[in-house]
Amino acid sequence: MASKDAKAILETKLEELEEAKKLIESGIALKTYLKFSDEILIEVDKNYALEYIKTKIAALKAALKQTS
Amino acid sequence: MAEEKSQTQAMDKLEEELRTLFGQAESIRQQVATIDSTILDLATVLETLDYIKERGSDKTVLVPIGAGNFIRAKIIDTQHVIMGVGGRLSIEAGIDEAKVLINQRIEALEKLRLDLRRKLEEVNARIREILSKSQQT
Repeated sequence: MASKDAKAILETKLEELEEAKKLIESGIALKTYLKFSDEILIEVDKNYALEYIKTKIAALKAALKQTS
Repeated sequence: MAEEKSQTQAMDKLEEELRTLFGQAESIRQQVATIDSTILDLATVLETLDYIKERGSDKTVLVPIGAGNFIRAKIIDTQHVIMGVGGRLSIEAGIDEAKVLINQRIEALEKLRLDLRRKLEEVNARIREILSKSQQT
């Protein structure tokens, strides 16, 4: 049951990031920001944001493979 | 004797199923409560964005700085909002686009809440069935 919950959380995070990627690529996102500490957001280049997303998605997919 | 043993085993099995079902029901109720809270938060965000867009220009707001303390700040941009989109990422979007995204999120949560309520009803129905069976034996 715990593994099922962990898988659901990872899948939700993956979906969120994939949605975020679409928003940036579609141009709806006018600027992108990354949280560097509690409540401090710093504007980052869109390409940087997309690279961040790419890295996180890869990590989540790897973690999902381990839970199945 | 053998029949008694078989009945006891059947009762034990039902009890175990009942415990599992109670656990599932509680878990679903907690998920629904979390969804309700998130929908309420998002509805408040929509209200805030509407107010800021229509009347926020040059308005003074009180910004919390911790422990119940505030400082005054002025709204300098009534057309854009910075939204959290997952992970450590936020994006700046026009208020109208942001409202569309928030409404989509609310719809998705409402659908999920409905699915969970249906699931809860199934679990409760099975609980009632087992309780009724155990009262008959």
